Amino acid sequence: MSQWGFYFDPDKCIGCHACSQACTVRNDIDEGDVTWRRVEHVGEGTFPDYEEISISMGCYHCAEPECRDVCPTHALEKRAEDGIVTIEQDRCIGCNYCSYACPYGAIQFGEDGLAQKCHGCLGSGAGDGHGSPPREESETARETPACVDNCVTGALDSGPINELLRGASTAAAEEFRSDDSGPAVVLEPATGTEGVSGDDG
Amino acid sequence: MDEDERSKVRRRTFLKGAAGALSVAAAGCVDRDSGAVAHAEAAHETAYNNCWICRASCGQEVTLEDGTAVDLTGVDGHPKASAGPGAEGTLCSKGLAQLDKTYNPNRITRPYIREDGELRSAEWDEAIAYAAERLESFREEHGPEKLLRYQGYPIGGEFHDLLFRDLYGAPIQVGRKTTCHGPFSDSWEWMAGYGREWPDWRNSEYMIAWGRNPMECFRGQWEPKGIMETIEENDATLVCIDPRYTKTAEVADRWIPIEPRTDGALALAMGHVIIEEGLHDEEFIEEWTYGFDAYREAVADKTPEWAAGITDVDAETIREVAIGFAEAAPRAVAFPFTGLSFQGNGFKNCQNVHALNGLVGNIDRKGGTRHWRAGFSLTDPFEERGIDVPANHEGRPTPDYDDYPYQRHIRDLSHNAVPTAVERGDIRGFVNNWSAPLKSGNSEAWADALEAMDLVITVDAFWSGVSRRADVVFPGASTLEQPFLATGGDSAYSESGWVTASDALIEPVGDCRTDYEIYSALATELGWGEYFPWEDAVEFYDEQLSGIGRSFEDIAERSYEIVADVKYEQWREHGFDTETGKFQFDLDVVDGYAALAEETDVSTAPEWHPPDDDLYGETTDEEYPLLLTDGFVQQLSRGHCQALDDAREEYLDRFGFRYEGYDGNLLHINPSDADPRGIETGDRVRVESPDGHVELVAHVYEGVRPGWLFAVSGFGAYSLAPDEAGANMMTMNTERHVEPVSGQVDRNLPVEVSRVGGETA
Amino acid sequence: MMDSPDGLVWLTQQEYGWYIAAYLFFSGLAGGAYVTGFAADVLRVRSTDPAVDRPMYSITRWGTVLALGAVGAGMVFLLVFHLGAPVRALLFPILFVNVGSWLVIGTWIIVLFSAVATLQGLWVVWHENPAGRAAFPRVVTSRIENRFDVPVDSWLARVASRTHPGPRRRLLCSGVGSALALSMIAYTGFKLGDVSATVPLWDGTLLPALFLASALSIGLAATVGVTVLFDGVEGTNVTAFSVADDVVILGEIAVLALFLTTLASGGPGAVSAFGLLTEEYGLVFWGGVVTVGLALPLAISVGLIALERRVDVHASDRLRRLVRGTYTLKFGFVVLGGVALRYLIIAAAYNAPLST
Repeated sequence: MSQWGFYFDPDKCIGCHACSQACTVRNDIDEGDVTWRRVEHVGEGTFPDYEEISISMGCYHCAEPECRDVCPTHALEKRAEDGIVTIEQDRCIGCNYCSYACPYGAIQFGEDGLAQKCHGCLGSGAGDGHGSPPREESETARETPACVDNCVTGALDSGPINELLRGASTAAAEEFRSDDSGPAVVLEPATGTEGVSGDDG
Repeated sequence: MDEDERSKVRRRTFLKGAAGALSVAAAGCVDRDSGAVAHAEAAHETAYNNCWICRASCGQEVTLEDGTAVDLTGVDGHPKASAGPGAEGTLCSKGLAQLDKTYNPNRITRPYIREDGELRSAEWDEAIAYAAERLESFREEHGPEKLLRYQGYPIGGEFHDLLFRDLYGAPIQVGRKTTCHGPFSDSWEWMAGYGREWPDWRNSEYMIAWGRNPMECFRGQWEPKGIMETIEENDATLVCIDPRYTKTAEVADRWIPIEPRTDGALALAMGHVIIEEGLHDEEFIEEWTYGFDAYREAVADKTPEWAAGITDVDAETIREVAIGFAEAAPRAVAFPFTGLSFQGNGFKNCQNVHALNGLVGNIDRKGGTRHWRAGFSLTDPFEERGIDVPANHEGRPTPDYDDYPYQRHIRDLSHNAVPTAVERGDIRGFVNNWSAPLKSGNSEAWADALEAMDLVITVDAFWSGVSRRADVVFPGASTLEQPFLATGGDSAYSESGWVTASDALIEPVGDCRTDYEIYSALATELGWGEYFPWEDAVEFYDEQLSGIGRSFEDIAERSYEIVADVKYEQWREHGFDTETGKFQFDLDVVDGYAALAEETDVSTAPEWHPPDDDLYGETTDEEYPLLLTDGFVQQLSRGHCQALDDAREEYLDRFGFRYEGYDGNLLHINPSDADPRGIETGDRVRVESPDGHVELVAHVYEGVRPGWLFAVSGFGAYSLAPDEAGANMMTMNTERHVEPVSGQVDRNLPVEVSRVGGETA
Repeated sequence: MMDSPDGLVWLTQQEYGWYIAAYLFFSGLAGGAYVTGFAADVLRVRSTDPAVDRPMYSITRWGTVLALGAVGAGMVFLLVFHLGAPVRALLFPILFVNVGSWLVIGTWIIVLFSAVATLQGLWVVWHENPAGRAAFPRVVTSRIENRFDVPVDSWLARVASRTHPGPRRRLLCSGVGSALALSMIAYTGFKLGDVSATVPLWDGTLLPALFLASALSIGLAATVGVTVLFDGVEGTNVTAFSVADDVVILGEIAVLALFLTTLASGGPGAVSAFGLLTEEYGLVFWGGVVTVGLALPLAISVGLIALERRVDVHASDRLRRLVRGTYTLKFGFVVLGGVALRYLIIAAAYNAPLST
């Protein structure tokens, strides 16, 4: 199985929210409270030594998905062909257990009370991921997901993990390989700014 | 755990869902939203369009399903939407909210006319006839010179000008130099002779974004992409000078949170260092500049130590930046923009920064500041058809505003002077095209002025302080619904000029019409139909493009074309279009400015000019100890994205307010100012100035300089934010808040902040 | 987040609403009440004093009836308010296929418990003499029978007597029910604790222990409290039960203290949870959980014991009523403390932050 995943470089991310907006547009998400992808702005330090890092977050289609492990009905499944974790809307009972299991807050609930989340743009809209054919054979899946399609600086990428690893730095690749039960995301280290200028005064 | 250090977590409303739960649960086995279409069956096609949300013309690749636009992304290789040839095109979050804009249920989709004091919807014929009749009687009663023209981000701006300026004969308009960038562009125009400089980011090695936020507020994707690429490929240095930690600061090598409005001092000190180190471009200065002696004299005693005391920037830092900048030159650029333009003393600050570029000789050079041009011209369809367009606005009497320092030498009427002009009877009517003036300056006076006017006509998309006060509202079509043509200019192609075009992709929503349709119908009704002989804008654009041997369809099919070569160092061939034919450090040769300078006891050469509580901006004091500036962020463009739920939500999400039930703008305040006032994030606060007050919600964080406050503009009273959520800082702005050289609105107000009871929602 | 600039990614709180807290409360109450009823059952059988027969039986009845009522209430909160697709959940025998999920395990425990508790309810209410207020369902069914001529009451009595397995076996069956009751209490702790990596407040070991102690305490308090309220203090051995409750409360205090110290010395998420409990939600925690739910009951208990040592509480009507009222008050406080605790377990549940 060729795990499909994400690549993200926080040094390149400019926190513009194009990714989260693109996901919302492509998947026709109407409700303001539902965000399959979002940008976290993490601040550190006090003025003038203040810094921010922007992180684009969504579902990482983990190797051992916590959400799937706790789902009573197996509405959440990890596909065999590409490792994408999908939600079968017709099996979900809306118990919310999965959302507490996910360390990344990826699972969202719309007004219908059912779980929905990123499915790597195998389709567009909640529930479109489940049952979709492999990406290459699908008529509805996009080659690149909406978020990647519009990342202004190329901080976000997606594809088979092996390919992503090839394009990543050694540090990122090593970090990924050190834990094989975790999220399918190749993460570049955040080096932040070299130094901020400010006066003593 | 210390209370202060305890991390504040975010939460959705804990009791959320209680009310709606019963109805949801009763639905039982809920099927997923039936709106999700089975895509395999629907007709799926892609087509090109251009984005006009921030007016950059980024090429859009739109996915259509059964005649409805459902998805979009950028066009690969597009001069605005990509990093260059073969590069992937993207759209920013604002551009992606285009669907929200086009299909927004709050859009005005029918014409409205005012009858018996009330606005009511009308058919197009009726509205056009009514508008024409009112325009005719206006002209008879007052004369066309009393009709004010105002354009924001129009799609068919030339048709508005043709009708109202050339034919109707209205000579006065409010120029964007008085609402947007006067100090920046007026100074540059006098120094270098052309409208606006823009950096050649992609090739630069040392970039100073000075009161400029290119990672958030850009003229197309090419800017942030170009900057990131040069940082990676050329190991370029990015310096961000801004009292706010923006996303530009985030990727910059240095963030310099300068004391607001002291930029001019910093620039002089940098000049001092550069000359001291002998890093200035002697050859360029010798051959191509005027007034260097005055400049050298001006910076002679402006040491970094001197500047440090004023700017709160380390003397060492000033030296390092100056040297880094000069050593990288000519592939270096110091680029001031909105941050400085909004200052009461912004003109001199900009002049001082611009001078640095002349000093190191980076003007129109690779990696420096670039004189972007299209490099070709389009055909004039009127000329081609032998249509003699009159210039009925010329020679019409315009009022004398010599009591205003700037009105003597700026071309258009200053925004803040309009209410007085109305009071004096010099302006009695107003035609607005896709603009939101009530966020741009003295809102209260303007609102009164609009009500006092005899005739207000607007082409608009949302209800706002302007459209609600109009006599006629014409619902304009969005870019997805109209043809589009633009040429330029600044882009990912550093040495080329380009054209981009697109046709309408969907039927106009509701009863909306394209700009051309609106203006030609109005013109025809007024008896000028002969000047609008084209069937639609496509035909007009087609004829324009014949000048470069293309048809509209040619370009629209491919979204864009690179048309001409535009070399660097254009001044070698043509010189500088200034009084001396050279780059002018000293503006003593600019008569209008020289006269003003003498009158106000200011040097014509670069000089440090602090705010003086007189003409050049107001200072903080004990009663109003904090300085407030309003401006922009990536997620919201100017004054119209506030109407779009999608865009507003992304903005609020950025600052952790997605789930808070508050829909307006935030007041960003440093903890050292918030704590003594008992203000925490989420608290309602009252901002008070000598001229008024507003209320909004606070966001306390370390990313703004102590003593300084920031808020996003375009919210609150008179805005098109739903329910006018948030606060409009410009309701505290008055006529006197103006930069005296350019007439630009001064958006720096001394204020005090206090906590108001009650939570966000 | 920008306004807590510590370089950590603090995520938004998840979706459990107050109705889950209600469910936890009622399911805990059900378990504890049932176990209390069973304890009274055992005590009655082993006692040689005939005077305690009826009062003990009263407690058993109340325990069973309360357990059934509470389980029902819990189910209402779960199905009507919480689940997005509750009707679908009713298909659980075929739909709940993930036996590794505590939610599935818990569902079966609840179902089995409810079955056993229903049988017990049937036997202790419709088989024996309908004496004592605890048998109020009987009052209802006989009224229906008399008013509408539908033989509900007699039918139920007949089923009860037909199915009654004899006192010994009934006790045994009730024992099984108790085991299920304890499992029902504990599984909620394990279910939440299973995701303790994400939600540090839900400690995998201490939360089940806390739930167990708390549920037993509030179940006992509710059952005995209601008994005392309706059937008086005579022969109900209320003092013993009250002391038993005190012992459980002491155990709960110990677990809670351990819980707090574990949180306070944990990672940023755990520390934040500690802060939320003790400061932001301080009023509910210190006031509700600790004072009302733990300290006051103990204090009242000490007072009552001292009183009962000095004075014969059965001497006057006034004293009897005073004692009755005081016990009811004490038990009421315990139950309220239980409500407060469940509310906090949900309200203060935040994701552990991620580090950059």
